[in-house]
Amino acid sequence: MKKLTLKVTIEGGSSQLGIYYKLVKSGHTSDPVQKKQSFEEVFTDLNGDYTLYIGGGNADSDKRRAIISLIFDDKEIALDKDLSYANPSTQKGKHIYAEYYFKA
Amino acid sequence: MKTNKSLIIGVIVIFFNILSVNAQTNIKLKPDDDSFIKSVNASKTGNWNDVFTNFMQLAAKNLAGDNKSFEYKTTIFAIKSKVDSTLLIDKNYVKENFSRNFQINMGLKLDNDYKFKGFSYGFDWALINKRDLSINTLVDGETAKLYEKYFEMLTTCRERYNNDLIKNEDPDKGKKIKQIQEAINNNGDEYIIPIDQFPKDFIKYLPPDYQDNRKYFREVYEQELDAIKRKPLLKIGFNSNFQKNTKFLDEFDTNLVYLQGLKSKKGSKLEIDFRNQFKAKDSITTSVIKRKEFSSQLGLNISIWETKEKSIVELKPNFEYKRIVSGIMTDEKNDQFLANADLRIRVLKNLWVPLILKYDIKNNNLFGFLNVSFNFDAMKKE
Repeated sequence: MKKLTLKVTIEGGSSQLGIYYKLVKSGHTSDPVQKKQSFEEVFTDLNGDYTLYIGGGNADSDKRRAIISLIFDDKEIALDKDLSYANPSTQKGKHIYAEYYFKA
Repeated sequence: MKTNKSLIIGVIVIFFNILSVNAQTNIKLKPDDDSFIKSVNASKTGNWNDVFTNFMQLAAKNLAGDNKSFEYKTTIFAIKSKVDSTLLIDKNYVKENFSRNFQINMGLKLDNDYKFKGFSYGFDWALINKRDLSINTLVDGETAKLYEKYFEMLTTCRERYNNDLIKNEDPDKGKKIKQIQEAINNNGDEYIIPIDQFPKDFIKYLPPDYQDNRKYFREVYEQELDAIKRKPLLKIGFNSNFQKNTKFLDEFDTNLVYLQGLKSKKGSKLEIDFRNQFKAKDSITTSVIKRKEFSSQLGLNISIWETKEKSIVELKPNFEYKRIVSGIMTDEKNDQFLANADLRIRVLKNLWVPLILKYDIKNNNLFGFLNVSFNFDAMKKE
C-alpha cells in the first residue's frame, strides 16, 4: 500500500485563516480540505501522478512559524524535487504555501 | 559618590548584557524573521503596547524628572518557551493562557543626577485579553471563506496551466512553474498575490475579476482584524521597589487598567482608557512619610495621525481625580482634579516617545513627564 503522510505544524499561536490542502490526481479534480490547527493527514492507496497543494494562514505573533512536511517511503513514492518545495518547508510569512509533485 | 556611580554603571552593564545575550540567542534560532512580525506589533497602538506587551519591552520613564527609571518587561510565556520550545505549537500555545497573560517587570531607579536609588519589580496580569491576535483568529469568519475560494481558484488555474504545459510539451515547463512559485514566495505577507507579480503567461489563466476579489478580500480582512483589536483588555498590576534603608513593601502601588476600542466612522483608532491606582509610601528616606493616595483616570486615546497599518501620533486627553488618603503635604488639597494630555509620537517602527502633560485645574499648575519605551524583540528584527 502506497502511503503518504502530510504533517503541518503551526507555532507561535493559532493559524489566522486555517490551513487548506488539495490533493489532485492527474486528470481528476478535487476540493480543498480545511484544518483549523496543526494536523497529520495520511493518504493511502495512491496510484498515479499527483500534485499536493497546501495554503493558509500562519499565526499572528512574533514567534510564528509553520512547518510543512511529507513522510513517505522513497521506494514507493517518487517526489519530483525540481518542481516541489523543500521537504520539510519552514515558513515564517503571514501566508503559508507549498506544492509537491510526486508519482506513486 | 564614586561607589554609587560604579554600582550604577555595573548594574546597567549587567542588565544590558543579559538582554544582549538573550537577543543573540534569538537571532541564532530565528535567522530570517519576516517583516510581518514587525507589522503586527507595529499595528498595535502605543497606548495598548504600554499596557501589555506580548514580548519584551524596555522602557525609560520620567527622564526629565527627579525619579528616573529603566524598566524591562516580559511575559512568563516568553521565558517558558525559551526552555521548552514545544509550547509554541498551537495546540500547546492555546493552553498557556495564564503564562501568556502574566507579565513581570524589573528595573532600576535613578535620581536627578542619575545616581542609583534602588530596584523596582512588579507584575501585570491581563484578566481579559480578547485582542490577542495569536489566539483570536479569523478562522471562522468571512475572510477564511474568501481565502478558501481563492485557494480553490488558484489551484484549479494552476492545474489547467500545468496540464497545458504538458500537453504542449513546453521545454520551459519547469522554469515556468518555478516562476509562479517564486511569485508566491516573494509575497509571503500577502494572502492573495498581486496579479502583476505572476508571469504574464499564467495571468491569462486567472479570472478577470481577480483584482476586484483581492481588493474585497483585503477590505473584509482589515474589518475583521480591526474588530478583534477593538476588543477589551483588562489588567491588574502591582509594583514595588527596594531602596537603601527601606523595608519590604515600604513603597508600592496597585493598579487596574481597562481598554476598550471604539469603531469610528473615519476608521481611525479610538480607545477608551480607564485606570485606577492606589499608591502607598512609608519611608524615612523620602520627605513624605506614610502617604497614601488613590487616583482614577478616564480618557480617550485617539490616533491623530495614522497610516493604514499603524498609528504615528496618538493623543490621549483624560481627566484625573486624585484623593490623598493620608500624608497630605503643606498647601496640598485632599481632592485634586487634573486635566491631562498624553501625547505619543512614534519615532521609529517600535520606538514611542510619550510626553505626559498634567494640568491642576484648581491651582493652575502644569506638570510634564517624558517617557521612552520600545519593544526590544521587535527592535532587534529591524
